[in-house]
Amino acid sequence: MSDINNISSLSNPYKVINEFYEKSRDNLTNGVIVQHFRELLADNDVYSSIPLIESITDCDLHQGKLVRLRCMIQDVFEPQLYNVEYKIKNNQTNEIRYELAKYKDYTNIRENEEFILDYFNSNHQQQQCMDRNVLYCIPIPCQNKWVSKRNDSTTNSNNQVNKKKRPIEDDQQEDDDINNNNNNNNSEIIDNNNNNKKIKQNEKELKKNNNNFGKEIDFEKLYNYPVPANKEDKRVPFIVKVYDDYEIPQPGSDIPISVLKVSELVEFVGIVPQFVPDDHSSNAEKERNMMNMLGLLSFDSDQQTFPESLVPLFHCITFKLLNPYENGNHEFPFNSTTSTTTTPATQTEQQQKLDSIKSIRQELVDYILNYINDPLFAEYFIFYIISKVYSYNSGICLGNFSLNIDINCKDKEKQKQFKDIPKIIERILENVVCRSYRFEANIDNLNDFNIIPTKNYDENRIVSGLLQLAKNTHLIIDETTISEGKLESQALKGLAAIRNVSMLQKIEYDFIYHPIEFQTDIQIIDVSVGKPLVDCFSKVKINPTATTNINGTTTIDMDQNQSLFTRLQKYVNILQNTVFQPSDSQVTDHIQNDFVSSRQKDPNLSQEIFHYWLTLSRLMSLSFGENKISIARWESMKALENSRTSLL
Amino acid sequence: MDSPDKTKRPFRKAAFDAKKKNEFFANDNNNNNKNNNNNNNNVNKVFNPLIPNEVNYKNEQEKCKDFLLNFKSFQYIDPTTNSYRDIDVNSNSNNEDEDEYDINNNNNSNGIRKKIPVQINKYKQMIDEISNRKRKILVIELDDIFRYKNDSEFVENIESNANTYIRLFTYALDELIKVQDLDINDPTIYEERNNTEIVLDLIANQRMNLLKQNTLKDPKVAKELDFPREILRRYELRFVPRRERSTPIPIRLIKSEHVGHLITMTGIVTRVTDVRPMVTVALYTCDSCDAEIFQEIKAREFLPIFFCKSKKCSEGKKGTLTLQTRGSVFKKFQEIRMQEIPDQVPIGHTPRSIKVFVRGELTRLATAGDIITLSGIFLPTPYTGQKAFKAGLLADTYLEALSIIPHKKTYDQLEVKEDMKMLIDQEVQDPDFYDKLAQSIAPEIFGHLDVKKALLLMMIGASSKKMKDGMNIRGDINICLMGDPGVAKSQLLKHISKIAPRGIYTSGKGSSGVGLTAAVIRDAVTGEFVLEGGSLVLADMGICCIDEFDKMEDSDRTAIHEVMEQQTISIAKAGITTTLNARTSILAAANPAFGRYNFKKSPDENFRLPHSLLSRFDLLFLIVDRPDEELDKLLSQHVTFVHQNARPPTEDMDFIPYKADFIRSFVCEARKFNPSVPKELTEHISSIYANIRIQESQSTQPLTYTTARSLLGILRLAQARARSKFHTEISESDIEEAIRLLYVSKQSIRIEKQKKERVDPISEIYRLVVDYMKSNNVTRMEISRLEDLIVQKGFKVDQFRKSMSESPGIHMGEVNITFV
Repeated sequence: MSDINNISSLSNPYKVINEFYEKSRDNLTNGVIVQHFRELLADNDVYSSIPLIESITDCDLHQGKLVRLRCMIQDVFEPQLYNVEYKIKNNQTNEIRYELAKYKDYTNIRENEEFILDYFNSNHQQQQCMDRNVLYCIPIPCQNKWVSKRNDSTTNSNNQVNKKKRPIEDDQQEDDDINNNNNNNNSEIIDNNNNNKKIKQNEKELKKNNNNFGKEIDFEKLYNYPVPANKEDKRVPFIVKVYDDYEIPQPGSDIPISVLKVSELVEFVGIVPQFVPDDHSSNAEKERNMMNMLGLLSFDSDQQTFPESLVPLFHCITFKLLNPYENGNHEFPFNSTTSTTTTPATQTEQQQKLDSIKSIRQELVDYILNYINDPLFAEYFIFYIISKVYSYNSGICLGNFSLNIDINCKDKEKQKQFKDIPKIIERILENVVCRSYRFEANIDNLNDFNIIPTKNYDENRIVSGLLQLAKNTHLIIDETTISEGKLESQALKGLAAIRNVSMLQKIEYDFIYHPIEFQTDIQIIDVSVGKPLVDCFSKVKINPTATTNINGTTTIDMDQNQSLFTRLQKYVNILQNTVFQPSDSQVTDHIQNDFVSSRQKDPNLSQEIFHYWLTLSRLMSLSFGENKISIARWESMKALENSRTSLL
Repeated sequence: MDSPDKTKRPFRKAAFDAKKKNEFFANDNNNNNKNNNNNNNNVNKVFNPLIPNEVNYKNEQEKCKDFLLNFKSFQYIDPTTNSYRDIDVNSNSNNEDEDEYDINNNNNSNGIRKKIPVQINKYKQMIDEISNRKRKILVIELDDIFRYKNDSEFVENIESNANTYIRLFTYALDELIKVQDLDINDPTIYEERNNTEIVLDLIANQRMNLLKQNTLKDPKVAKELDFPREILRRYELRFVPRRERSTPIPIRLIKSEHVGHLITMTGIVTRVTDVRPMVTVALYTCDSCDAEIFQEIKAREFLPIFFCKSKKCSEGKKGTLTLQTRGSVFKKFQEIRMQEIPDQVPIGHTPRSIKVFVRGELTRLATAGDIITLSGIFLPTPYTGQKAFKAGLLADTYLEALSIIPHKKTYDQLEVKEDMKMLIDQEVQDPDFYDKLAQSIAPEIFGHLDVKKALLLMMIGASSKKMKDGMNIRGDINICLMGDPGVAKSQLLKHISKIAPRGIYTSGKGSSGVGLTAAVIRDAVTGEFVLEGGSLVLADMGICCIDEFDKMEDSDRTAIHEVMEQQTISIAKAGITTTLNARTSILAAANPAFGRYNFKKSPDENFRLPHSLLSRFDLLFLIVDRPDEELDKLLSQHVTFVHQNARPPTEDMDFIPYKADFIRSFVCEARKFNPSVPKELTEHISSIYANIRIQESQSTQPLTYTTARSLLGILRLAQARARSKFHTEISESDIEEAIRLLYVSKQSIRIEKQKKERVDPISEIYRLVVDYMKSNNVTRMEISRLEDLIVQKGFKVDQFRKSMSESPGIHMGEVNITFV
């Protein structure tokens, strides 16, 4: 592959696609284009030079170029039918030309030209119409700052070039040059000319539109985020159109199923089309000319009516699902050799990795103790952080470790101090895990906040709720702010849903006529005074003698902190992606016998507790960088459990 | 359908730029449409499906005509029901069919074989009825077309280009349905037809005459007077898909390749609009020359005509046109949205939906929440107005409905596939089938074999009997699982609700609002009170699994009494008094009163449910979680395995558990049997019943409360057991199994009470044998007889053999025991 080709693939993918199209029309549907881009992306340098977009400004800067987009799928809309190509006739010369229509929303139809919908043309009768999937994607919710920073750094080299804010004219010049060199594509030039002339106009329009809409549109409702976005957050949702979906046959049925699901994290590579502002006056005029007999009846006011100035379009050429347990470290997802998601590390490799992080455990403990001086809590907190559901099996999920922290304390002064614990946990998690969020479970929030995602049939979209989060999102339920009051039925349903996630990692989306169950993995930590509203897998009572300090007892300077955080993040990341081995038969027998004998002593021990012990011992071994349960760990787990239960 | 209010809509000046996007959908009305007097070429675009241009429409139309005229079939006029069945005479290989119909007919008329085969022209007859205005719907079965000449290409063409063929059939019908000559002064015509129809006919007649006269005089004028045939077509044309091709496809698989095809799908209706009139032919009159101008409308929008085009007007001053609603043709129109049913949604995905246009007589057949099977034509429709501009050349898609079948909400009519039937028939022969099947229910839940057996019998159920006086004896089996926390009760419930057709899982405490029974709700749109069914109503003809039964709301608990015996729910709320059907089996799960079963208290105190309610359960399982070394060992092994390997152990079971699909099909098949109690057994049953009653009266702390209800319960269980063996008669062993289950259900406390040690099956069997022989006062018995007896008690054959081989006193296939 030549370098020139590379550059134009990146800066003007439409041109490259057009070349493919001109070679053969079949190239549009046989996957050659996708293949071309995937090969391109496999080169790490090329990949990292592709800008990552997340805001309107990014879109304007990179219109028509190859860009990347990282997001979570919030909703899957109905597929659209589109034409692969347009047949355009010039009325004066009667010439007929074809134009590519894939990856596009608008065509440049010139004066004296008209479209021909000619399905009877025998040359092109097949594949005139194809489907494309339309996804509503939102910025990854609850993502912590350090993750985006890291992402920035991977693309830094390129951003510097792009962020020079060169004048738009330069851009045009360059594009024109390329076009002139190839000079066989007249329409392209016009396209670009129009494009660039419009950009300035667009920006004006955009401001105008924003002003117009700002008053009328409830952004929160439009954007539909699971948790309210920060006001300064410039990130916007995107409407992503996916052309070549990867459908894989499901085991047990021959129906191919798309891999693009709700709440999945995806990186799309594609093009942001030129933004054509709505010309409201003229459109309204046109609309009025038609007599719509049934206008009142139609549901067409559904989904496609997002103002494009607020929710930009994105045409996806290729994409990759992101592993939610990777700590935002998706350095080169398209390169199969470096990707940890596709090739599981070998035994020895894994062992090396585990060995490398063993020492970090103590650092993490110290870091936690720095804020909350309770070693027992620190232990369980670490288990909580590294927990991950590793198997869903016929109704049971394994690996879930939701934790309840009881801060009840007789000493009123102490109690007051302990009320900071949720905030402290938030602070710790912010620096260690990739996604975390603190939900204040007070009466108002519970009654008013959308907790369960619900289908709104009037708008034909899923109204997001707190629990529509990507896997591996740490959710802190802060019950310390609760006061007396009445919980409405919605709040009770919400609490039941959180409880369901906490115990079974299952969430039922409300589809009005029936619920639809989704498996998830949202690690829940619930801080309560006394008995919690949300049942959790495990429960730790803060030692009344412990001290807490919201700012940490010893101040460490920033640089040191940064490298510490990086180590801690690495620790969590590696442990969450470790493949755990079944223990030796000797150990297994020991464990089984231990359970049977304990049960003989105490008949109240249920199967549940055994299940709990196994999960706990697994996490404990893991936290020490071991990928097998040993008898020693089992015994220390039992000892730890004893000290925990004695406090309760 | 006329609707005067349409005139009030404001008309706006047309300034539509024909060069713009809409021209794209150029009018490609085919050549055949000579009658089409489409005055407006710019807006009324029909998006035609793809047809290769080699197709000769004239030819195809002739084919349609030929079929309609010449298709012949036999009708058997059934004197009892007056319904008829078609027999095809056109194809040669119809012998099988005929046999089949014979049988059907035989069954229908209860043996009165009075079939009069009449050869008729099925469609010709229908056409005649339409021209006499006695019929409004013409249903063309594609099966008939296929049978007519075995022309599969023709049928496939229809299936893939249904819209075009509807048009071709319409043109063919235009030639076949003649407007009859009617004399306005003839009084007899008013008698034959109903009044609204006759007016239309007379007007049409007059127009035709005028046209005829004018054609003779001046063809040019005639052309002006011509009117769209649509006015005369007062029928609806529908296709019925071929039977073998009509298996519904999931909505998510409907793709661009289906455009223009006839497709069938199943889904839940999520939204419906009001039914509105839609104009199909608009009629204008000119205010200066009195000419009638017609405009045929095919799209949802239309651009009205403003200036007269008649010859007269074109010469002088142009007259303006006024729309005449009385003369225009309107059709009922409704838009609905269908969504995939939950079973079709793959795990982790959201359900897809599709828009459906419903016209004419098909409107108002479905309301939101209904599950329907619908067949129709998948079509694209261009976006209009601002959308068209925005979306470029995209097309929105919809389904033009041709038939709607609301689902019978029971899965009794669940179609069992042939290969599945074969497999079931084969498996039923297996002596361990019953055990295996029971173990296949929630295979990941360890043990609880007897509970699972009971659940299996519950799914099968007994048949409900209707007495002559209208009284109903329920056949549904109700089961309550009461037990300590953590014995996987909820999981069993969830599993059952998933396996069972129309299974509903609900919690006695959790569900608010509509709750378990039903609620009166004010409709958001109309403001009327409407009745919304709760879980019990929704589970009609299915299984309702109620978790946390003991924590149920009091109001619901009162209703549940009625549901569990009468199987109805009576409601008197907000001026609505009604009785709803709730023919459902109830599977309840409850905790004992004190959280865990307290052996120091009496069973009564532990149950904490009123007697009246408890007696309505055919089986009340008590599952007590006691430490038990051997069991715990097994359990801990199971749990550790699951933890370490992230899958349930397979070697535990010596067979592959049946899939839910298989169990469902099996239950469906088993339910077709209706076993009766043979006379010999009645005495046996009554003696058992009497025995239990006596035992109970002697015991101080009875575990069971045996009433007449229990007797029915035993019969129900026995009948279900017989059904599971595909038997037509209940045998003694079925009754034994029912009683065994009844006994086992309380075993856990019984054992505790008697401080009995867990015995190994071998000595238990030996004890049973000795007991049996003692009670019958015999000392010698054949082993084969004993074997049946032991198996009835729930032991396996090989366990029995083992026990016998280890016991003393066994010789030559006989047991010889001397009592001490």
